[in-house]
Amino acid sequence: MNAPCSWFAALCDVFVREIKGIYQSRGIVAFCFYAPVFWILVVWALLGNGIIQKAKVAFIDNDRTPLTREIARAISAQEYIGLESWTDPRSALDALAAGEVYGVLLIPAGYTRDSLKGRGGSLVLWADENRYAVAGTLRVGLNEVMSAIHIQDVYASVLKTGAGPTISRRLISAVHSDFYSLGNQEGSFLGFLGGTLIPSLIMIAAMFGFLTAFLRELWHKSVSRWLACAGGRFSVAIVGKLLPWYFIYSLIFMFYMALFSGEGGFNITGPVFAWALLGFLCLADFASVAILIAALSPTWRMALVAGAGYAAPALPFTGFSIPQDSMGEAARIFGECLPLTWLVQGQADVWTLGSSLADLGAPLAAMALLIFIPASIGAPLLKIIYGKRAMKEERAS
Amino acid sequence: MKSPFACFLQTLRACVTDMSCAPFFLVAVLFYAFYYCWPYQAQLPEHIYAAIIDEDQSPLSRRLVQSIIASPDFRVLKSGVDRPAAIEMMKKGEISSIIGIPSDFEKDALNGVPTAITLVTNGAFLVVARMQVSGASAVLARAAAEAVAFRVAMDGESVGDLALATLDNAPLVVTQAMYNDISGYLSFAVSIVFVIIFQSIMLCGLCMLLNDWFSRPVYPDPLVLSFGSPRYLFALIAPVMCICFFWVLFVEGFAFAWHGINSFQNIPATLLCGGFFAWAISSLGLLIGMLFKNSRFAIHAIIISSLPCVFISGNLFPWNNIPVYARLLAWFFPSTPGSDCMLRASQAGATPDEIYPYLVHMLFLGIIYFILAWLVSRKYKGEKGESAMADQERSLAGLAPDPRSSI
Repeated sequence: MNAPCSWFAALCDVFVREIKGIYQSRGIVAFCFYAPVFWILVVWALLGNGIIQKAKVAFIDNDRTPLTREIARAISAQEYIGLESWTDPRSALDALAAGEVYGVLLIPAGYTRDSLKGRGGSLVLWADENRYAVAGTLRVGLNEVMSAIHIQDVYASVLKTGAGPTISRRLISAVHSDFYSLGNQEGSFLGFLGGTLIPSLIMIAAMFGFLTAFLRELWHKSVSRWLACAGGRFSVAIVGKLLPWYFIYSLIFMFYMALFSGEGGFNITGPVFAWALLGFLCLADFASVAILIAALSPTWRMALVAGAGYAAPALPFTGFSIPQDSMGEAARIFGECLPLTWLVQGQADVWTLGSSLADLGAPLAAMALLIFIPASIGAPLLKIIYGKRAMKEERAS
Repeated sequence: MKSPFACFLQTLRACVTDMSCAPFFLVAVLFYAFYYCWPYQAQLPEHIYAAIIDEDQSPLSRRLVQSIIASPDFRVLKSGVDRPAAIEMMKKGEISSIIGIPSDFEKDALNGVPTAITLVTNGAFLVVARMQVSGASAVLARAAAEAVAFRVAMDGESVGDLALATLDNAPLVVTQAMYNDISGYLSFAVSIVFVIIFQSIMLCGLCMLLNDWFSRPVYPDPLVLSFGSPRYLFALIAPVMCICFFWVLFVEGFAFAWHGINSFQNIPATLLCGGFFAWAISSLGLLIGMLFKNSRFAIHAIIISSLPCVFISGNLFPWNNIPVYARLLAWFFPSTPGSDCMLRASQAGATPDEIYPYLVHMLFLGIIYFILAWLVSRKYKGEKGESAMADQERSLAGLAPDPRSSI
């Protein structure tokens, strides 16, 4: 009967000891707590409302007719594109190469003549595809404007046949395409990056936090005191040590949830509990990997290098930019072994598709498995290695 | 006393042999040159995996479905499904978009009542959604117009042909993809992110080296001599500059060529950019290393800030849309001018004349950080090093100072 009570009593002792350790180290407070929160706020604030507005485009009108001026006005009215008049295509392309503008838009000479003769004219856009996100937005924005202008042209052409306004309207307006971007209809980069980059940032910080919890004992040569505080129970030592950190990063994750759905106004269609659960499980995954890394790393520097190497480049494998089904088989499978992939995918499902806990079976099961595997290897190893270190410390003292 | 060149050699040796920093200087960039590119190998999403919900089941909607299935842009995994089944497929990740044809589509289309074909994508993955919309818009518009024109022509209206003819006109906008011919994601993401990877790795490496030296009971000579001496400080960072420059050349040259990424379009400008970038980040690393001294949180600070650095560089989100304070913050990171400069010089082929603002920016940052590092290092003057200790021991033993120490 007393065993569970003593287990929890020891857990409380280790928990309190860890809290004191965190509180007493200015470095830990600054770099494991304030720094991630600061960067979360910077990333959040720097995107504004997340809509690309008035990206600079050099505009060259070589036709100079009322029609081309009308096109320029229509494009200028578009929120994505900020036209700047240029006269010389060569210097505009140089400006593109120098990064002063994101694209060069040219209306070629004879554009109006070709349009009026029914041959149709084409605008030419040189887009800087190395700044792909902006270039993509320019393409979409420009196509929207030109499609609207084109529909008016078709309407006028059909009217000329004597078909009458009813049939003309029928042809041009009866059928159109509607695009729905679930959860992010306005195409906000804040929703996109807020939903991927910030969780990634939290998980990197959490990895460092969990590792620092173990490494602090090495730095202070206090492994034996830590294990003694746990009453010799290694499970207590690990859980009690990681629990305060887990609690701190869970709070930061919930802060991010509030920021995203409250301040950002992105409407979450699924249960908030499911979203939070995904985040908590992901944190547990990182804690579990931190145990493994702490056990395997010969020095504290190697531990931090391994932690950074594991957490920092995980984002591209989540499929947030290039879909997972377009990755090679090996890269896709590797991505599925990373908890961040399941967090990003599961969170998107909750946010945009209204997935319930029942729908999230695969991500939750995968994340649970990713807690179990590293911990089941790492904890026994850590027990052996840190046990030896504790003995060494005792001998030295 | 050792010469600056001897300090340079000793530091270089430490950079490649000291296990506290050698993994950063020797292995990390090589590893990331392939690891980071791995998921992007396909460059572009291969197909738009879609399901079609046909709620009309009319001859017109069937014709439309056939047109969409025939399109190479879509891979229709299922057609004729109901909406809940399609959403279920999307939740399972089997499809990334749903095309919907509403009920009474044919009736509305032929009676002039506005109706729409819908494409539903997942807005959580905006770049992919944009690709899907961009790829699908022309296909859907053409399929719909063809279907309607076909039906109108069957009713004997000659204007159907006219509508079809207008579709065969020249495209509205011809887009010329500059510097990344296939608009590939690998070329776009990797060339920007690699500058931040260089920065993080080199900063971590230099900081770990200095941390290791500061943690020793007796500091190595290159460190002790650098306290308050600009010449020796420069000798301390010069090896890191050389290593960084080497890796810039390796990645922009060999690794990017291996991956098929456009690079080295202007060789002098790329070399200049690499050199100035190496100077700026080495100076920043020196400052951070001097400030952190034997504190163990340098890696924490560097890695946590690396991810946001990608986004405040102005290459993913337009610079003029980023708030002033974030721009001000970005100004102090060498990766901001570095990524712009490298994209311009190596990928876009800008000449040295065209990239000089970025070069001046990096030069200026390097000078500021170097001066600050020098000011910080002056505080540590008097802390003893190897030669000083050895000389002290020799003088205590009544011997003359070691002549080799003045090489």
